[in-house]
Amino acid sequence: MPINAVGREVPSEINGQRFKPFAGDLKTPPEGRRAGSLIRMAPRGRSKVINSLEEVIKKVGLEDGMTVSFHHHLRDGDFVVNMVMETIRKMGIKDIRIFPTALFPVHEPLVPMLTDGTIRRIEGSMNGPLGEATSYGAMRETAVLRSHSGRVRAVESGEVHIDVAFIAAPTADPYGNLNGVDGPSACGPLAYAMVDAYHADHTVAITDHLVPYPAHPISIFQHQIDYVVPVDKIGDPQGIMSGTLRITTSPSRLKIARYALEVIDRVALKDGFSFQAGAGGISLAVTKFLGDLMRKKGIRASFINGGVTKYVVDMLHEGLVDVVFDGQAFDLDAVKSLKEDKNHIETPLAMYGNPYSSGGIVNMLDVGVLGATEVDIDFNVNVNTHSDGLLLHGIGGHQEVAAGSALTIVTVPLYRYRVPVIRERVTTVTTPGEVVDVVVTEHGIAINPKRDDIIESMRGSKVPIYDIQDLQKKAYQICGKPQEPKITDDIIAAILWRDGTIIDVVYKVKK
Amino acid sequence: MKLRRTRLYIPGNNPHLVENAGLYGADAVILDLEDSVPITQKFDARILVKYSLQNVNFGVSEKWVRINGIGTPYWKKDLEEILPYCDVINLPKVESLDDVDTADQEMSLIEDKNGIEPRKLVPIIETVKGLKNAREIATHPRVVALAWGGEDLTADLGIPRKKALILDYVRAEIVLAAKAEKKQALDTVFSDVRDMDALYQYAQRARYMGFDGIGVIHPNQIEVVHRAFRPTEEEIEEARKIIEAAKEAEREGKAVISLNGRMIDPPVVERARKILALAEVD
Amino acid sequence: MVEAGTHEKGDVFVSIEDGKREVIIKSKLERLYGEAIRDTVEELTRGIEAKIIVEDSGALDWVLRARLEAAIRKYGGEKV
Repeated sequence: MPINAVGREVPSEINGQRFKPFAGDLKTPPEGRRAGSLIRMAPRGRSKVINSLEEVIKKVGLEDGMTVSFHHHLRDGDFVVNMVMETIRKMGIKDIRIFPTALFPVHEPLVPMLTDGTIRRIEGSMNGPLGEATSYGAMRETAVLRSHSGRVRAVESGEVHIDVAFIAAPTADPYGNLNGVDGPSACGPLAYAMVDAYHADHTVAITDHLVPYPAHPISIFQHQIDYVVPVDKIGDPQGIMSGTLRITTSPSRLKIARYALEVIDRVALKDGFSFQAGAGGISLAVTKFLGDLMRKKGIRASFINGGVTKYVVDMLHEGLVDVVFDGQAFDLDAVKSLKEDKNHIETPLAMYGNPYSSGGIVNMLDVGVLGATEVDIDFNVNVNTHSDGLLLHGIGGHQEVAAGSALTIVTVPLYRYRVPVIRERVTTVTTPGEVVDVVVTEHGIAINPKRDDIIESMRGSKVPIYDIQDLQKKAYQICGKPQEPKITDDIIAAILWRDGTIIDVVYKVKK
Repeated sequence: MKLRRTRLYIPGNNPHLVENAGLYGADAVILDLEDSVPITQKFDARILVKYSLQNVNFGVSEKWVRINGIGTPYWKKDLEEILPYCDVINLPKVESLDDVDTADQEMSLIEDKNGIEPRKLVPIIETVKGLKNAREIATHPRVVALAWGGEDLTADLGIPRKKALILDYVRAEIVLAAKAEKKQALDTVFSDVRDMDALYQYAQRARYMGFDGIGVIHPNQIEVVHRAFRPTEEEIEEARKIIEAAKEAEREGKAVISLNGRMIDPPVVERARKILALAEVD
Repeated sequence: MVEAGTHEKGDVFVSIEDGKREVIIKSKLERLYGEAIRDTVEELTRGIEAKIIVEDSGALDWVLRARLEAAIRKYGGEKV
């Protein structure tokens, strides 16, 4: 097997499909033309409403072996994936490839379908039980994980062809105009689903809030939607919205946020700058502190790319930032703002960070603050697997934000409950060290040696600066050197870089 | 003199809090075996604190342990286990010089047995009787500072803590008792961990009252308190001028230092030195 | 039977009770620190003829040692 640019041995074929090894960001040029969907013709009539999932599945002609897609705007409150897959299973359709933007613990009912013949594989982020089951070898074929933008690229390039897109729609009209800002299951933007609506052969909207034609505002337009299926509930608002997200109260995490803020202040803070916001405890704290600092210094940002939360919305409405780009809303404040404020803009995921496009939002980012499960002495980052080898998380937008931002900061504790986070070698490479600039821990920071400019800017700072090797040694000194977890040679998942090359693989874990 | 602007209280039986206690740059960390540890955990906490003192990097922080009071069955055991590994013993509910002597004798025995340098002692005055004897207590050579606690003291007086009018008198008494012996005076904690503005006011007030530091119960309080204990720009400017005048007088061989026609006494010069030293500290 | 420690994250709970020597270790970190935990437990409890249960929630080695010592000394009769 070839060795890729981050030193990992990777196969050249996954599930019978050829993949190139990772060669470095922007080192593998694209080929060919964009792929298209089946051209359809709507019958006469003023309604696309079909009252049962089974009927719609028959109508679109779903067969054994086909690919179905879902979006994850409803997150851990989503009912649609389970509802559709259960119907497919009952109808006796087999060997389905599921192509979600992400799956969550709420999708645990899919676990038995991995072994009963319904699902042959999942290509998408798996948070929790499905990832764990896959780690132990439950999936027949190999999982393929892509970042948000990598998934868009895969669809556009024809690497993945979607037969049927099932689109959870918090609001829909009978002729297929959809939005996510109204209805009992409101989730904000429908950004993840847009590429599927455009490129799938068949599209089915599933809604619990059918409104008279025309629904408005419109996120996904009627000419891309074949059928609309009303159901009782598409989700549980409690799981869709994370509630009011709380800034971390952990003093060590707050210390990490303060160090990150100091780096931003010295390296990137200036009028008109831009940054990527997230919803993790440390990210929220950084966003909050950054807002405070901007207020104090009289600095205004040009845009925030989110991961939108109340904290981001407050900054928009206070005039600390001109524009919010919204690919995902985390609380009701964000949903409300998206609906009402014209400077709060819903962005299709195709605009986010696809390297095979004419340029995404991430290329305009000055600062990206990201989390990680592990970071190693080459600055490689793992967000997919735990240190014991279990596949438990998706990639999200980690790769493109890291690759695009002028300053990429990874915030992590030095260790979590004895498990070292800064390691000699990450269990799985999600994001290569070449696009990571600063690692911030509660003990101090490490700057990627190739970023002389940042090293220079940080001179004279009170923040302790270490070689990353020293941070790693410190972690091992406190925790002890971990033993190598017992894994096998069987590949259960491939991790793709955003350009579709294989950056790493995940191996089966012994029970 | 060692800076003791902040002393961070950490419950002694909580490993997760103990292992991170050195991260925050407090002047001192107090591993607590007393009030934050329930009776059923006294044994475990003592052993945990012993191991933490030997294994955790407490960074710039002086290592204190608040042991149980000499009226309890625990204090001797506490000392026996932890004394060799800490810098300062924080002794609660001290009421008299006798109490200090009792602790001192026990400490000396352990120090001799282990062949270690004498450890320092910071008594906590938290009863009416203790307050009455504070001046005597401060005279003990092992005592480097006096601290005080309001809860027991107001209870002792039968008045509600929040309404108590006597506390500023208590503070003044603690400062005078300590300072007369050239010891440090340490104010008690500010317990609203969310209100940073009020904390700043509180700490600055403590400083102007004559205290050298206050207790903190959350790491987030440390930076605020250090800021409050930093001399103001005006104070620094004034101190600079005084030191400059003193240097000039020395250069010119004058016996009297004067600034803008005003005579400057030696204690004023000394204060100016202290202010500049404190301003240097981060 | 004696106990030491807690089930809080970052801590470890140890119990020792009369019986034939038996060491039971439960830890979420089995794959990463199973051997290290076992080594420490064996080292500190060597020769103790009793049932020893260790339930780890991500404790550092010195925490494990502290909890083991507390449990062993209590099992040996220390009370205060």
